[in-house]
Formats: sequence, structure tokens, C-alpha cells
Amino acid sequence: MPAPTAVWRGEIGTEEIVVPDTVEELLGGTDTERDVPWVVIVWDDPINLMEYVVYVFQKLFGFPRAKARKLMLQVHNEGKAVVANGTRERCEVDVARLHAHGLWATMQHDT
Amino acid sequence: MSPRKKRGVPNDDDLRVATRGSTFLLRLHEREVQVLEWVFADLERLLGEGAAGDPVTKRLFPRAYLDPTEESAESEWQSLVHGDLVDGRRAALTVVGRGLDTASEMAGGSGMREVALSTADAEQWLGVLNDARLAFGTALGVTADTDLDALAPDDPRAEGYAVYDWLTHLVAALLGALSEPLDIVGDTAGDDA
Repeated sequence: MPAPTAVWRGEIGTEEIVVPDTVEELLGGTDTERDVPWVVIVWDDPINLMEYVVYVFQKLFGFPRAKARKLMLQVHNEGKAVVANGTRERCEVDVARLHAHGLWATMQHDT
Repeated sequence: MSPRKKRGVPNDDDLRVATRGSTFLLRLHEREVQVLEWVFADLERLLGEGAAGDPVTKRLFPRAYLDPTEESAESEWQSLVHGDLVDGRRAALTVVGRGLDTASEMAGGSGMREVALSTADAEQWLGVLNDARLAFGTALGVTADTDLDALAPDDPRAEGYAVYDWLTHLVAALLGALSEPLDIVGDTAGDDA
């Protein structure tokens, strides 16, 4: 959790207390895991067959073939595509599954 | 009700991967079996001894985070999943090894072998063969511009590319079979016009 931007530091006994300045900061600031979703990106690579990528997208995400093919073409033509989004934990699981199938995937904050 | 008379088993002996009901039949020449044994042993060795900085290891076990500020999340994620990724690949290698060991000789004395696969087995085969493609392709430096047909026959990379090309064909054949809807009622396969 990021440090609050403005604090009151007081002392009770021998402990130092840091008190958040605003309610926002009390709830974890403006940039918490809860507020900023993550996205999973699959990158183009020169080895994986297009048909294989379609197969993996259908298998892992349950996409109908047309959507899986469209995403694959996006990866192929644009160099990458967002294939999933969600919490950090969810995306980490998806990246691991994609790696297990030999696809090159990474995750980042949704911008 | 009497069973429907079969019009005849389709002659698909020359298919790389044939389908019988819910079983896939992968055909390999005994020399191909030998090459696969060598390829699988290579992959096994990579899982055991692959150096972290080696390009093939990096390709099989890439990063999840590219952002350098997420280094601790990356380490944590690697420590959680790397073991499972290795175990999953090892389990798949066990399946394909067993498949090669139990391959039956096809009639005709042509040296052809047949491996019977369930859908689950076929998916494991697909994974291992694709991993092998990734390993060979990375080691050979395959890029989008690589033209496998343009290599001179005496190019030292020619043999590696030949294996890579052949692995590509096997992956494509398995994909083709796995992408077809399976026959649930084997008896009536091919009977209806």
C-alpha cells in the first residue's frame, strides 16, 4: 500500500503513529490493486503456428473460434493483443497457463 | 434393433493422425520414433539442467512482468509457478514416452508404428511437440523472415531445420485432428451421407 501523502505523526508510548490525511488514503490511496485492473498481453513470436495460437485461446479462455481467430490475427498483425483482464492474481494465473502452452505472455496495469 | 452395417472402414492408413471414434492414431516410422526419443531426451535434459540465461530456457520459462518496478512480484510469481511449469512438462514427457514405448507395428512391414491416443494424450503430445518446436526454433534463431527452403544442403543448420520442419508438420497434424469434432458413436462413423 503506498505511503499516505500527508501524515500526522504522533507518539503514544514508544510507538510512532502514522495517520492518513484523507479518507482515500485510509482506504488505501488512489492507486490500489482494487482500483487498477491488470491486463494479460500475448506477444507475437516467429515460432508458434497461427492455428496453434487459436487452439490455445479456445482451450484456455473458452472463446468461440471466431473470437480466438480474431485475437490471434491481432497478435500476428499488430505484434500483441490483450487477451484477458482482471485482478493481479487472476492475471498471474492466466500468464502461467499461457506459458505452460508455450505462448509468450506478460501482464501490466491497464492504461 | 439390428446394428447398422458398416460400409467399410475408411482407408486412412496414410494419414499422419487418423481418428477412430474418440481415439486418435498417430503414425510414425520407426526412424521417426528414434528421432522423437532423442528430441524428448533433449527436452528432459533441458528441464533438468537448462541454464537460466540460456535462450531456450528463457523462451520456455519467460517473465510475467516486463515492468522493472515489478521485480519482487516477478520473483514471487516465478517461485510460485516455475516448479509447476517444470512438473507439467515432465508429466507430458512421461505420457509421450509411454506412447512411443507402446506403439504398435502397422501391418505391411513398412516400418510404420501406430500410437493410440485419447484426447487428453493427444493434447499432451501437442504440448511436448510444440515445446520441442520452441526449443529447436529458438536454438536455430528462427525469425519471421527465416526461409527454411532457402538453406543450402551443406549448411550446418540444415539438419536442425529439417527436424524443426518435421516437428511443425506433426504439430499441424495433431491440431487438425484435435480441431475436428469427435465422433461419439464410433459405429456409425462415415455411414451417413
